[in-house]
Amino acid sequence: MKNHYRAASITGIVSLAIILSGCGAASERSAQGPQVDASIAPEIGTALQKEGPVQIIDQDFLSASIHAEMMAQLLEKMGGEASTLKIADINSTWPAMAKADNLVNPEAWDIFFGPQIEEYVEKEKSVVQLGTLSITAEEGWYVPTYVIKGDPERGIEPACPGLPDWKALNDCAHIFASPETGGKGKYLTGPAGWIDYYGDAQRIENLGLNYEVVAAGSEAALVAEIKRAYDRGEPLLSLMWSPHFVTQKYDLTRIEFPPYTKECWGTTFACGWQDPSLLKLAGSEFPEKHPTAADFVSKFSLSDDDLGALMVEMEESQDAADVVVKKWIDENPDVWSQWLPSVPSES
Amino acid sequence: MSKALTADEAIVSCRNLWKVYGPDPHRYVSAHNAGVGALDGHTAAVRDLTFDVRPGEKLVVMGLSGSGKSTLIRCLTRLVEPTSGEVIIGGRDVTKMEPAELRGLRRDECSMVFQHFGLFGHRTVLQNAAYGLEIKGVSRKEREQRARDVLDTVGLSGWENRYPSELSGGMKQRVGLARALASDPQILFFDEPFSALDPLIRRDLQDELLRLAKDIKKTFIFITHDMAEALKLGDRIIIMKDGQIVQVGTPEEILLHPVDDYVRRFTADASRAHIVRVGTVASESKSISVETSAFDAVKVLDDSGNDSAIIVDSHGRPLGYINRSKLLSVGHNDPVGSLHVPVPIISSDRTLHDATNLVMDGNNPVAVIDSEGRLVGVVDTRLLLAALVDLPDHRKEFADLSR
Amino acid sequence: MAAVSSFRIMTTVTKIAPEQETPRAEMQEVETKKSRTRRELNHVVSGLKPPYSSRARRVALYLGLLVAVLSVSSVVGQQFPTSFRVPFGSATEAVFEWGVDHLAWLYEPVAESLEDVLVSMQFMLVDLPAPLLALLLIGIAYARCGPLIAGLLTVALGFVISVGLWDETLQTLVLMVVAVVIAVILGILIGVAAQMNRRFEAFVLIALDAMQTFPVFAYLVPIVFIFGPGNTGALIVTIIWALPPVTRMTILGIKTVPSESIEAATSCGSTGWQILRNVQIPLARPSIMAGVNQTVMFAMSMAIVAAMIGAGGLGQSVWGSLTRLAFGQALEAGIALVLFAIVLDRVTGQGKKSTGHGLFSDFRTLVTTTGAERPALVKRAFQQHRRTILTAAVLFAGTIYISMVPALRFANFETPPESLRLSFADPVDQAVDWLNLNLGFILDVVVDGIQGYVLNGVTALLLAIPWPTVFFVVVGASLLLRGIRGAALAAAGLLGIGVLGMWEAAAITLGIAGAAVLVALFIGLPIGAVMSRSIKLERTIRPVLDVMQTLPVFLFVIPIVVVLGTGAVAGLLATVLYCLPPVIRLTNVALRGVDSETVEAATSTGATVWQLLRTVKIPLGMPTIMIGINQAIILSLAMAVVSAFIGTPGLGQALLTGVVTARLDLGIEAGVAMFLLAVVVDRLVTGVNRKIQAHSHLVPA
Repeated sequence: MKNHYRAASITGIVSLAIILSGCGAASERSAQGPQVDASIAPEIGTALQKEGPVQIIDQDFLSASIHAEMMAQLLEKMGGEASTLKIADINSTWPAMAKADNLVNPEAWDIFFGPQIEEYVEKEKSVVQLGTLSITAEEGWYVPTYVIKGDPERGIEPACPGLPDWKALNDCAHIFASPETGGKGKYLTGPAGWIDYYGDAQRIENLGLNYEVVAAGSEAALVAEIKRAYDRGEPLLSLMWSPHFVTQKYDLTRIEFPPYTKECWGTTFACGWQDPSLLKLAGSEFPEKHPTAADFVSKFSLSDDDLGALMVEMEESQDAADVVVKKWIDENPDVWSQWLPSVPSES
Repeated sequence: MSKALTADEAIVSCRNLWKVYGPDPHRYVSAHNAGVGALDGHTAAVRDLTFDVRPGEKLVVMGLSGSGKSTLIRCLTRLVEPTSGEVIIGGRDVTKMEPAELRGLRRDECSMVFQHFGLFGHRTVLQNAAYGLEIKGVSRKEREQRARDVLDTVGLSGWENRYPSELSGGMKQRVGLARALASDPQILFFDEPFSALDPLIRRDLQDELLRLAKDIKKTFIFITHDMAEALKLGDRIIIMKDGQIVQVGTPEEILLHPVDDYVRRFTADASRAHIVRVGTVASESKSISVETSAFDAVKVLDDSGNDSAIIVDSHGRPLGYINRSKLLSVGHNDPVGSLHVPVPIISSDRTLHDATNLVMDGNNPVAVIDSEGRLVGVVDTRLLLAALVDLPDHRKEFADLSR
Repeated sequence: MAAVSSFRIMTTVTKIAPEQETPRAEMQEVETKKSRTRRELNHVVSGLKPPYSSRARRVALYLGLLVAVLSVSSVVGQQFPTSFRVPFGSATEAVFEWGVDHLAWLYEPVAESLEDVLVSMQFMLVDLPAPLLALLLIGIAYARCGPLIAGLLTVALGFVISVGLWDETLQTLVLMVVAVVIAVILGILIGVAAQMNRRFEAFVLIALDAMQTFPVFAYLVPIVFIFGPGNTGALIVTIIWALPPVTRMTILGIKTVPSESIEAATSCGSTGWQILRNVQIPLARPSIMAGVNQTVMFAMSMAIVAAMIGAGGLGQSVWGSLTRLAFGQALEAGIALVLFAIVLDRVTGQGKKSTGHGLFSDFRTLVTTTGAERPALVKRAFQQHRRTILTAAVLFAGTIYISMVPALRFANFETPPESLRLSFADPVDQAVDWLNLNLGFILDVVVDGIQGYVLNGVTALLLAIPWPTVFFVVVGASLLLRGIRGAALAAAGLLGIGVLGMWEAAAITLGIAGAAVLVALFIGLPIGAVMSRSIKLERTIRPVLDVMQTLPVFLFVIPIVVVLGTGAVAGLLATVLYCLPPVIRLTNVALRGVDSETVEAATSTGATVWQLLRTVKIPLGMPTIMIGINQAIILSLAMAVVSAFIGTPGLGQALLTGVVTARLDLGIEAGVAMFLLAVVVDRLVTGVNRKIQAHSHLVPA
């Protein structure tokens, strides 16, 4: 009946001791915190401290995690206070930034967020863009390269050598077919919501393709399907993009559709993807309240090679992003020193 | 048969009490009162009950399941809200009480013992017994002292700190009893308190209750479905069927004069030895004053057609027994006072069971006296046996035999 | 009651006695339980069925109606007409946006204070030396629940340390504790309030049904809109999901307090408040505790969903690892979740058998008692509280020791020493690869077969049935089973699904759920029956079921894709796995629960095992088995969202599309449609269940 007294009494007895030891631990720990780099001008640290803590959104896919970790760690290195905030549901990042004045999204793919950009950036002006990353991104329909060229090592014959030209797709429809699609070829996308967004049904119809779109349901399922097919050496036609750990890990080739035009996208979709821009975003009050941090964010830009290397490193070592990023920062001061912010004059 | 008491005489009194379940209970009652007949879809658990309970009385309400007895007892303190009618306890109409007044009544004047004990499993025996006092706001020390006393009375000393789950059924009900007694109420309600217990334990508790009743002088209203229990415990018994009273009377009245076959079926197997009083079965006996001469006494015997008589003193108190042959063996003028043999005496309100030993001890009859010691009759072996086995119309038979 | 979780029904069936109404109670006495079961037995053994005089006529009537409906349907058309479409979603969206803009004063303080609580708790835990925290947790577990659970906790903590999930575990635990505490307080308050007012109770019960049936995903985005992402939003989602069990069990617990105890208190003159405080709540405690237990389990089950809107912790590790196909890491975090779910289950669900006194009351007795009794009392008190005193002493010494040894004081549990390091990554990934490469081709044939010959056919069939046919058949069935009200509800529900534009999606979802339930019954009923015959088997199967129910669903959903590929078949398999446990469990409970005297009576007439099962156990256990089936159906509908993650079409996919494209209106419409579908199906199934019960005369009419 009254067992809770036991727990209560124990808690009571030890709480005093906890307070004693705990307080001591806390103060010493914070003293251990990340070392401020001596090569960085101390005014930056002072300014950042004055502006207060910043949170970098980690959307929990590989490249985004790396970007978020790197921004946060560099801000700390400069003497500021920064942490990452994981938000796996990428749509939630928008209301989150709009609400907060200290939230930064280091990697927002513009093509994912057409309506949100319109609403938050252009209409409400509750989110602002702090430049773009210099990453070359691409997105589209992909096949494993062995489908085109074969893979003698694994004993795979080229199943559809006419690719990546889209005109070869119809000839190969049967190799991509599945029971769900009957005799038609299967094109696999992620969540069903992306079908309309990317106009896959229109593209198929307007290019006269003998294909059907099938939704894997989620990015995780899509990636699992690619792994499944690739490991078995089977053909698969699916949505993919780069930078992504799958395009790093597996040798995939993008189908070449008629080039992107503004007129085609949104109407017939009889063309390929626009190459995405990776935006850096923050709440609209961020530049005002965190001018130094905002300047750093707008200067921040990792190269394709660096990002690719980091992603491979993460995949191979199975280490978390923070470990890999820390190593990179230690080894590449010449790269990130170019991103150091200028301190606003009035402070 | 009991006559209706006035409101001041009765400690509890029920007037036209109704409890109807259904969509429109009030309409049901008014329909009934207007003689319109029953409404469909209603169940009347208690219909139009009127009765009184005397202070200090042990009233047993007896009936089968569904007869409405449990509903009735709950209506008395409004654990179940009566549909209509009055319940007057200590001169106040319970049905019209405000909640606070009602609580006061429940706290101070009435207590109840339940069939399945109704103990609080999360409280110790002591805390259970002290519950009523705790509610009243009695200080911990005082209420625990009082609870200990009551627990002692019901034979539970040493169990104060146990929890109900550690007790046997009989002990649990003792706790229930202690809880009811702790607040020293005037009226105790018992809702089939012993029916969930083993027969032996049940008898122990019944005896205990009788002992208690003797000591504490409270009014008991006791519900049971067991006729033997009703006969054993009740000063008076109300027999209920379908929400109505079938018969009201003392155990003896019920036993000897069932109003109908329904009641008779209950009493058929009842043991009479402990219920029927000697006075009820005693036959009239010729009494002869102690001053009467032997000659006159013989004449009296001749006139009455008896062979024997009881000699009484000037106040009518029995002194001894005498028969014809004895009278004839002495002188005519000798007063009978010197001739009689001692006669066993029994009070008329004792039971047949009590009379058995006396009757069996000697060959002579036993004189039955009233509360002032005056002779009311005699019983003998034949009479006793006939009464015990319930020979039809035994008293008349006996009269014939003895003639 | 509509959608109900397995936990709730389990307890209702096994622990809670049916309540009795006072007027009926006496009448029920007449027919004692035994005589009733005998009568059932007679009925069952002799195989008598109540005569249906008008049966033939009724059948003819139904057939006629059916033909009529079919002919009407073929005229009206197959798909629900789009002209009936009601823009419910966008209307709700507008209202919601207004609320977000204008009600900030209401929700902002809530959000902020919740965040403060979380942050300060997290800081407190982070600031505690890790070894001390572990010692403290184990100590409390030991004092409160004994060596077994303390041992279990030690294993769990050891596991998370050696797989390097210490920080994630703490984050999850903090979130869970805060969510559970808030849910429990709210739940008990609501439960008590509901007990006081019938109308409020009715409202609460409907709201709870909605909270349990309405898919969490439908309100993920709105929650983020209001409370922001991260822990606060996750906390709110977790509270919403975990609130119903404790609330329900509080209501139930208070209701099932023996009426005599309440009468006893009333007849002592207690006020309503005194009865509540002294009698109802203490006596409802076991039930409330069972509710708390379920609330904890529900909260744990939200860990992954919470991760999707930014809560850190173990759920995040599972989901994050899954999206990068690190199945081993996902499994590690999943196992950690299961271990802590088991520990929390045992801690909160422990039956309180001990009637030993509390430390405080013993202390009081010690102080107030003098004289000869005292030494004995001191001894007894020490014996009874040995564990507590011992633990306190060890903890005290440990605290001092830890704060004096810097190595311990600043020990970092996040990165375990290499010697303790445990990793599932390689074996699990290898296992998945092996399955994919070696069994994949065989499984492909099976999957293609199921897809091609079964699911395509079922879907085509379901979509081919004209909507008025479905409508009239379902409404007609509801009319027969549940009367006018039931029929009205069914009609409203079906029309609702139609006007939301979700008719087709609902049909597909229903088809897949139905197929999954059939498969689950096909597998689960025999297993349950076998399980009920052997205690050994029961002991073996039970933990497996426990793990199946506690393992995060996503954990096995994504690996299934690697082996089976995406699509309806994988979704079907996942759904079967998910709704199998209640079928097995309740079949077992049902067959075991049959009155032993009835079984003896049948055995003594010479019935064989099979005859016993067929003629006595199954008919008498049918109501319970039906509850299992009902649960399976509801779970399989709930699974629609999860299986949408691996490409299963239907309502779940629509909902997910709403989430993925941030279309609040679509999410809400799909969510409401799922809710309506679940309610309609649940009412139908319970209706069938009632009919079965009435038909078998198990319940007095």
